[in-house]
Amino acid sequence: MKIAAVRTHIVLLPNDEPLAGFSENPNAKNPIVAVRVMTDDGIEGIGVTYFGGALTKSLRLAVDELAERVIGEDPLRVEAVAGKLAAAAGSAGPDGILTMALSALDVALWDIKGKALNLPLWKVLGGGRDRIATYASGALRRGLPLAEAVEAGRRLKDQGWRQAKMQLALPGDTSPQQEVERARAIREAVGPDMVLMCDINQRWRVDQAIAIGRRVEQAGVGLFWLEDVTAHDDYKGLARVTEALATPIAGGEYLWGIAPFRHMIAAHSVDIVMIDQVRAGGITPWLKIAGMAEAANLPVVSHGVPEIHVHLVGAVPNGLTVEYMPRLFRLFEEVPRPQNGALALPSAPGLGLKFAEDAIARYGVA
Amino acid sequence: MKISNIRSHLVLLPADEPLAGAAENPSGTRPIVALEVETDDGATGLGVTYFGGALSRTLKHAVDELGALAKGEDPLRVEAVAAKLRAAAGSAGPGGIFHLALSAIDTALWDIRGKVLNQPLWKLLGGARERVPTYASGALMRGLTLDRVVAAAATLKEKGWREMKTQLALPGETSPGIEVERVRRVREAIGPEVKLMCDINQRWRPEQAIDIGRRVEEAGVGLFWLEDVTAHDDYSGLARVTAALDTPVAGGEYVWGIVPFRHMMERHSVDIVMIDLVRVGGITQWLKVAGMAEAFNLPVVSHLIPEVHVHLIGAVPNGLTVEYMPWLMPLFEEVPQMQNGELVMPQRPGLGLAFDRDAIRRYGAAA
Repeated sequence: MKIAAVRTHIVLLPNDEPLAGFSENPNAKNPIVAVRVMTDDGIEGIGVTYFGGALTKSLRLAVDELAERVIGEDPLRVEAVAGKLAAAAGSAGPDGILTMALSALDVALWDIKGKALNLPLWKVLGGGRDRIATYASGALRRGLPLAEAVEAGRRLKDQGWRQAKMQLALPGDTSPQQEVERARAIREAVGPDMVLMCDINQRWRVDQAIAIGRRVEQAGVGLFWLEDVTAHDDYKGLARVTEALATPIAGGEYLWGIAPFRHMIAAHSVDIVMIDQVRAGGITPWLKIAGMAEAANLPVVSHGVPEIHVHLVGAVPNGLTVEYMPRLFRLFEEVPRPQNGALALPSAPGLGLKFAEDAIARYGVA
Repeated sequence: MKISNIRSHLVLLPADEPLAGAAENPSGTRPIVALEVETDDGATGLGVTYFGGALSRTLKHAVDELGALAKGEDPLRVEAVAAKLRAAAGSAGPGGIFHLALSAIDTALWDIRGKVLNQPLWKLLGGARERVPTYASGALMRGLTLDRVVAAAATLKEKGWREMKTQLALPGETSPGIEVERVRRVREAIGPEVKLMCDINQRWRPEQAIDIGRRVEEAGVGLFWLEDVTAHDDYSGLARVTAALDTPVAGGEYVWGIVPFRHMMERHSVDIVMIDLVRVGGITQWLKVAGMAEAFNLPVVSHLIPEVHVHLIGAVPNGLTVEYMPWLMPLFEEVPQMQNGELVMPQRPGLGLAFDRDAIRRYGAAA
């Protein structure tokens, strides 16, 4: 089997918030690069990449430039293909746009592999569990007024979500008291049994993370984790927060490739390892990080794109929960849906996903 | 003053080797993105970026996308421009192609600043010295046969070079014995006085670096530094080699931005800090790393593009030597030339460089 063709599309998906209905920025768009890899025996694998921001067209061009070099390669040999592309890219990588582009191709090759083997990907990759916990993400963001965030929290509870993530490090004028009050109000809205996470997105200094984190603990909010409390590459600073707080610290989504996870794990920077499929460089490196975390006795969680991550968190023994961030659902004909706070692992071969052709036509740009 | 326009060119420069005539791959080309930033009061700045490899069109495209966002900004506010571009790029950075593109813009803004203030850049940035040592690079590469590398080394010595760099971690079948023999022969060809550096380009494991490095020491080769002995982000592996060898270990060219230098220095990964202009994110970031190295009592050296780096190594108190890698020479009308093993600081304002229009036309490629 050989790779015969690669096609790419840029789509600008609406930035609405389908879980609880309060979007921070309803007029914005989420630019996504959708990738199809066709083989000479008729199998099509799909992949996606994003995070391009103002450089989204550059990201797509990078996928296209790499794609020229995969024609004729064996799609089952993901390491050989990645090795060839990394060598061709030379010093344009590792990291950044190269890694984001590689990731889309790697995902498509794994989709092909699953289809060629006639197995859903989570089973090809280990098949740890047939149901996996999931949490609502993107519905309780820091840009929402407190009243909307509280109402959104209630709606998530009413819809049956058992886990949800909010954000602190509020925009504009804020204070430790306002931060704590927001967390307390959202906890009140979702009730004591909801598993509640909180994301800081690197916006605090180390000392702020310790001071505010402790006040949140003392207010009895009971966070399941506090995420990305400071700069992702301040391994020691993260370790100081992790040491100081009783609340588990999660992090890792901002790292490129696999080596920084080694530094993060060796420095005891986090209690929970979050892996982003795009920044890690695809499914192949994602699995290596999960194995490294397992050896360090740490759980892993996913960042973004639940449609793919359900397979990965479900496959490995230390997968904790899947972030249900519904940014890409329009791009696919059907996506996994939570039932009783969990996702059932898909049964169709490969990723079990199909691009919705009408969505690609409707949201596609040149 | 405002940025009014940005123009970029993709050029494929010949991969020749002008210092000793010893090209590894003479029919190859080196893709370079050349950038001109124009302002509304007439001052223009130039910048370059490279390392795009198979993604060079993407790199040019990224420069253009960022350049469009920089229009209308004050070119003297390099940190504000960088912050705006970082925010716009979002998660496409930091690191990788975003950094390569940002660095070309940052360099051009510093060129504008020098011209507006009517000062050569090295003086604007600190002006530590009027002359700095420089070393011949790119002439003694690992792909050459032993005879050719020995002849090229002798040529460099005859031309007056006092410092030069070779490479080990040889392609194909090799052994510690073959590695040591090659560098011993190069040393023999240049005599005992020439400073000799040796680059591994991350091709050894730490235990190989310690084993072969020690054999090179025992053979009396006397290296000035051993460079990039293993994976750039294996901070503790590098530190093991640095602790085990007497030969100074250099590294840093492969890391993105400023933060990894902190990890490298805290772990004692290297004795000599090498900073790459395009990977670090431009002149603004380069200077921060040099200051951090100074606080750690470490010297800094440059990677590639001597035409820009002469200013930076000359400006800071802990600049050790400038790598003279003449890859971009054809792109400029005039470049700093080695005299008695040194480079003299340029006197023209800014970078003191002008693109050679004929070269841009001649080597220009469709993007």
